[in-house]
Amino acid sequence: MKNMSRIIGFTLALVLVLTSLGAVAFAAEGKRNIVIGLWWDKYYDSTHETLEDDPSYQGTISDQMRFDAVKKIEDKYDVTIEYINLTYVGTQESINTSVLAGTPDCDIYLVDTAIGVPAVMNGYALDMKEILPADSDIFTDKIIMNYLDLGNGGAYMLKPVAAQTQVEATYPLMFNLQMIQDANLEDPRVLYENGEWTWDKFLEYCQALTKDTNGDGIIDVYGFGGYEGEWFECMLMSNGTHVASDGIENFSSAEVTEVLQFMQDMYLKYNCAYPYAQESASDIMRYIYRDGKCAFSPGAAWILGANADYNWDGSAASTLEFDMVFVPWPVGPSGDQATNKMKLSNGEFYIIPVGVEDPELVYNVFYDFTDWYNGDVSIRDDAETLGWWYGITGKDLDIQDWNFEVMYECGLREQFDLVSSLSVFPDFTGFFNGDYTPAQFQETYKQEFQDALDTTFK
Amino acid sequence: MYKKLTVLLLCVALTLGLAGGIAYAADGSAPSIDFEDGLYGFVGLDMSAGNADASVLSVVDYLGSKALKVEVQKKVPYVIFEISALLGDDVAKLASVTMDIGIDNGADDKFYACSGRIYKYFGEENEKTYDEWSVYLASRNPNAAKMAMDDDEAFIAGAGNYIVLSKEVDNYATKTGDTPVSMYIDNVCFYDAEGNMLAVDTSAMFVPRETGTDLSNLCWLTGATAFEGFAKSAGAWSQDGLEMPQEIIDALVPGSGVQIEFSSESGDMWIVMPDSAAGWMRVGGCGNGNSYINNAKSIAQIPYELIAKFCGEDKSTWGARMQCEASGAWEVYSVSVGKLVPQITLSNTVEFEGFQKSAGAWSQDGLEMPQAIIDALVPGSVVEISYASETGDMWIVMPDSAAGWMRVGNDGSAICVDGKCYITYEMIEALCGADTSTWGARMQCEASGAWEVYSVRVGTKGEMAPLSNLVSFAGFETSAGAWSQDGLEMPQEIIDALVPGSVVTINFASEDGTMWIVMPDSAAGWMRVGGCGNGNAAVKDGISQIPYELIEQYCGADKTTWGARMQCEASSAWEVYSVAVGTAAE
Repeated sequence: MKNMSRIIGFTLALVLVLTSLGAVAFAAEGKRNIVIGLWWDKYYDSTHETLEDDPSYQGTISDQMRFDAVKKIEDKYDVTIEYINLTYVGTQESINTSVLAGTPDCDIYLVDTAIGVPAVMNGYALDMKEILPADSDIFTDKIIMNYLDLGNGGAYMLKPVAAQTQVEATYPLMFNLQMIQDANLEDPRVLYENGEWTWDKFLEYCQALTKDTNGDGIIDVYGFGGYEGEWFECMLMSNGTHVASDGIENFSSAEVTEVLQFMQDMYLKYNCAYPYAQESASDIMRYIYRDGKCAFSPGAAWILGANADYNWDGSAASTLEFDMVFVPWPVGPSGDQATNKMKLSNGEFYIIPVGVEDPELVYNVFYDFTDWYNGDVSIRDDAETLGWWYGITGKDLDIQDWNFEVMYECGLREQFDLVSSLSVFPDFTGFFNGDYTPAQFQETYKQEFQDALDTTFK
Repeated sequence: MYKKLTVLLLCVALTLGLAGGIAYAADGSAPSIDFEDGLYGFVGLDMSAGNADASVLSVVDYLGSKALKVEVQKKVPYVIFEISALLGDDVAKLASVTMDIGIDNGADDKFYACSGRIYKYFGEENEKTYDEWSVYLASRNPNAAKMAMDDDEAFIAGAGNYIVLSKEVDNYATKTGDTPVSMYIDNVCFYDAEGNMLAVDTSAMFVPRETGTDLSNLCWLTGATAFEGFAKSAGAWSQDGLEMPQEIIDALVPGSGVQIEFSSESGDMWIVMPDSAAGWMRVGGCGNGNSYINNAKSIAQIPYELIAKFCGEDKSTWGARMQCEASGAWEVYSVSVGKLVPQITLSNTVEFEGFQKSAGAWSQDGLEMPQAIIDALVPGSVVEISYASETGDMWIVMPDSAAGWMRVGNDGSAICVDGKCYITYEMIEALCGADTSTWGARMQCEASGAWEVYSVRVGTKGEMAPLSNLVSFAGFETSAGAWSQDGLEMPQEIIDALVPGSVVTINFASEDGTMWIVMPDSAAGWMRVGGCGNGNAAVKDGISQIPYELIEQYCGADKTTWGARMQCEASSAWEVYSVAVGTAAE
């Protein structure tokens, strides 16, 4: 056995030295091989010889363009590009060992927030602001590349831009347009445009729209109705705050107190929020708007789609008589309309690890590789792909387009916050019932958030 | 020049450091287990998971020394290290384990990364947590893996604690669909909290664990009569069997079925009635119906009605012999005949608080029914009793019924399987009347031998459909967090298999036992089916079944509008091992 270890050690030494000098696995002679480590198979790279190497090849123009882009980049930069599937665990291990050792296995890593954030916190990722010119697309127009703002001033986690990834998982506020018109209230979109869409105004609207419509002494329509998950997330962002964006919980902060106070007041003080469902709240509270029982609700394409609200493509059995229109959330006392975030970050990102040779070259190769559509976003975001996103939220073309634009705008303003992914579940039902004051609520759950963060960032 | 030299030296230094890490022990002492003695009786396979692989274990030469080879056959290997036996009382000192893990290249001689877990089962209750390992680059193959105990975790001597090494991601198998690559384990080191190596007894032996019987796709077999001596084997398309004894002929009645415990290279199994008056007859395969076969391909069931369909209603014409056959080489371990009863599931359950009772044969004991139990006793409900009795039977007594002191289920109508007894509302209603207010205050249990009841509960009765003709949804192995969906585009064979009477069957694990499907592209809208108010999947023992008719109810009668993809989802973190579409029994 001891002999085996020596043999392994010597062989590995040779292999590693050779591979370190000649890139990881694939490299044409004399060329640098830019290696992208990830945990599923992606196409195309320099190892692929035909379009059919991608098992999901469908003969589209975009397939051809993605395939051709590899050759163009090879010629432009005199490099080769290679995806290496490390597995998810292997990606974590590769970052934690090879980057720490100063010799990254890969030039670029695909990461999610669970891998990427600790990598950034541990100093394993390069800050593009220290690498790239200030007028780079990633810092200006963000047509091809964006980054996740971790609130530390750096640009570590790269995010290729695409309309679909931009609009998915966004939760704008939506309102019943006809209710607003019937009440002769100014359109919230106009208020937002004028910088007047604030929590106070929102509360004023919710109170005005809460009505006993048949005079029987029972409220029939409430100003607001929504599920705690997306409501709390969006209220946090609208107040310029968060709960779990770094290693220290912020659930106990004064800004979060403002959020909680506002949410609870809507129930207990102003009685302008639809009574919270004591069971199956996620289903029930996402359906209230559909029955015309509330004017405002957190919106999402998937919610309107799941409820089959609008017969936009002829497939739904019916269509709502009223329009649900998207608008950014009102601005809280600690928020700022110009800087408020509007979408919790999720999905996939890329990092360029510390220790990579010539990181600007690596970035430029990756940027061009990402821009296989030559800056023509109409190819990247082709209508067929996005048809559902455009159509699902309304029956009227103008409203469909408007809602899409709001979702897109939300997607451009990402907030990194693990509030909903730490498996901490505050008892909002009890909170809305008045079982806790905001301070008691924060005291009850702050340690759970901190413990979960300690686990995440360890 | 200097730069290149520096890089070279750095690489050498790094490599030697890594190689040192890969070598058997950080302090240079011999590893606890290096397999040089050829012993590996302390390892075995954990087959309890739905995706468990029947891997072949052996000690082989690997990179110039001996190592444990795990030759994977098809799915995920779970290799148990019997640490309680290896370490004896020292298991309580065990704080960490390291080992070297290597993997073979794929059949194309290319390297494909793999990863897995080292599960630790610790404490009196064998609680489970895990650490992860990976072999992610050819230059890091083999790679060192480590499992460490957290502060609140401890192995306990005498508690039967163990660790399990799995390989759950295999990029070669995922990419090519071929057999997963083999894995090699060497230089296993056991350390205490101070980093001292712990000595082991490599002559220790693996203790096989009771992993339960896979009853997926099957009925319960009750009142079984064994077909004595039916242990046979033969090659593909060859038949072998025995003359049917009288007790088997007697047991073959409507509602009964033949159950075969078997293995076959092809995974199929059916019977042949060679002397049938209707002609030499296959039943349960080859166009003559299909046996119900479990996912483990170890049990087949052929209903009486299927035999009658092909051999005639008069069983006296079925001939003297019953044989088995499969399309691959096969071995049958036992055959029995009994009543085939669809497996019962309970949902919306209400516990009968405090119902822990025992009594002698033909003695009753019980409790006054709490209001929650009375409320739960509605048409379609069922009483489930967890029990043990000397005679195996169990029923209830309603001593205060207005219809008189009443036994319910003692006539054989109660379904008693594996320590559970089921008595439906309708059975009680038939004897005590339709008005539950006349059933009296108390419910009691009774059996014909001394008995003990551990719990009683009432819930909505459901049934798992026995399935045949399963069409696998290729590649549907995935996992996600609570309320997250994942799935695949439906291949044509799955679309074709989705016909009235078919059932989607999902082999899964989830933290809260829930599992349903999502049809995200349905023209009727993004649609959950089998959960969250959109019907209930039948769920039991890690199997979730969603009938075609339920999908039809929510996605519409025209399956061409159901969209391209099928996904799974649960209300807790979940993992799906396989998905298939089968044909439910008529």
